[in-house]
Amino acid sequence: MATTHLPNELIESILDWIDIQTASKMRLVSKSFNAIIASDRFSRAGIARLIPPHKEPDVSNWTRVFLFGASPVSLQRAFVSLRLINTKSLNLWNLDIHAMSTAITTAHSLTNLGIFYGNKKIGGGDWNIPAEIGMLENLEAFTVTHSELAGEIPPTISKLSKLCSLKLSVNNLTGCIPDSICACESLQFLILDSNKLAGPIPTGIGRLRNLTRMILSSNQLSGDIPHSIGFLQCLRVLNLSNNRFSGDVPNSIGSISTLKILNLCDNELTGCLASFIMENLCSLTELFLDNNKFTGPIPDQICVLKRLVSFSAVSNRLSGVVPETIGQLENLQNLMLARNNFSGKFPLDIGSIKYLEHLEISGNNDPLLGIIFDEIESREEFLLVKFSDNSLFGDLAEAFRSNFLF
Amino acid sequence: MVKITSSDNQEFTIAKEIANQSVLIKNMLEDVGEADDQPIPLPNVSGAILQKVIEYATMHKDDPPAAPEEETRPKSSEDIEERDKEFMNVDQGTLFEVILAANYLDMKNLLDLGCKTVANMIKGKSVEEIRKTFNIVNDFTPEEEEQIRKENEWCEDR
Repeated sequence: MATTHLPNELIESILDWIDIQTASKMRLVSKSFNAIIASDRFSRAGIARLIPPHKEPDVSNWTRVFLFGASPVSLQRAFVSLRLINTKSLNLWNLDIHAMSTAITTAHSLTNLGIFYGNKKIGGGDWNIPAEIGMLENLEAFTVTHSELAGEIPPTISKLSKLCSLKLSVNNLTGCIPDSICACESLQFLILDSNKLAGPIPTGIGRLRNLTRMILSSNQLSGDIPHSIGFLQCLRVLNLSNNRFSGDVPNSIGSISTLKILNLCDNELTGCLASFIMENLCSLTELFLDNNKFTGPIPDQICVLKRLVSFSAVSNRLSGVVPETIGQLENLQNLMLARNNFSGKFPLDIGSIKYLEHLEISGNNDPLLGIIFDEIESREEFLLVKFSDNSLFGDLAEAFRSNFLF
Repeated sequence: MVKITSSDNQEFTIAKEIANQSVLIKNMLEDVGEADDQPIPLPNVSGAILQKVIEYATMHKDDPPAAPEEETRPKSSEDIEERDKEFMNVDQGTLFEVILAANYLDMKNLLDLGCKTVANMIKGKSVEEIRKTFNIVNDFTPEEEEQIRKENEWCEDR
């Protein structure tokens, strides 16, 4: 038996973690528990105000509403017709996505709207973002993921001047990224990956100066990466992988000193790495360039990327000698340069890169060897090395057969 | 290093990064400034519980800060790390004391962990068992109880 009494505010915090059925049962514990659960403050899934459900619920005090697919069907149905006038945060999980339409047209106080794993159980056809989204002028975060959202991103999105986070991952969005999105100057997260968006990145993207994450991967976007992307001087993550971008990478990317992750894999990008690998990219920890059409050598100045942990440029048309300066990247763990046209000796002093675990240089022209083997030999943690498809010097191959995968 | 003292006057010396996990202590440190070597008094927390709280803070000192976009995830009380489960494997009195301390010290993660642990304790229990857990006496009349049971029927339709 407990001797400590928890104050009501802590009981509320505990109830926050309990499903609706258990919470309802807990109303029977005592008058004070019933009062907490039926209070305005305990608004999770609006349970307080939906008891009993046959009355028209008074939703005017609901500020924060979570609704889950596991909620009783009666609650889901009731919800569709609610007018959530004062609701600030609305999160719908695993529910019929059409329920949101009503929310949008009435919930003018919303600052956070999230729909996750929306489905079409109750009925209705394709579901789009209604143009009325622009009326939610207080919206700061708008998220719809894994929800079969179709149609285009409406241009009215530009009216959301307070929008900080737009996350529409894993849906069926089509059309272009509207130019008007560039008017949402508060945006910090622009995450539109895994849709069917086509066309170019709007050139006005440089206006979104607060952007820290831009993730547009796995779409059908094309055209050049706009030069104005270099104006995004807070950007930490830029992922444009698995699209159809072409042309040279604008050198302005090399000026983004906050950039930590740059992923341009699986596009049709051309040009030299030297054009954008610059001193200002000193925060970069991950650089992925696989499956493009990059040409020319890895520039000597790769060594300015002091924090680089992973560098991957598999399946490009890179050539020349891998520069010795790569040995100065002392945080490097993964170096993947397979399937390029590198030639000459592989000059780097790999043994001096303390953390290197994964090296892949198979599928290049000539023997890329010349590594300081004495040091490598002592490295048990050096797990995965692929030298295959290069012409190896016989005795070196023999020497390392026991340690490495060839 | 930072010195703190418990309600029963036990003194603890802890690293600043550990102390800073408590928003209360962090604010106090900012108020008094670096120079002050005086121990920070925490009159609402006993030494035994403070020891436990420090153990938690030490265990989590290298945790990355929560990503802001994660905040919209639905809460699940099942979502507890194994090491945290072990940490919370204590008698109920201690558990409640830790929750109170986390609330007082303003340590959100520890407070959440405590609340989740209690929530999980409650889930399979009968109403009478829940009363025992919280040391609460049933103060409903049979009529009032019946009324709530009726009102609750709606959410049992599943």
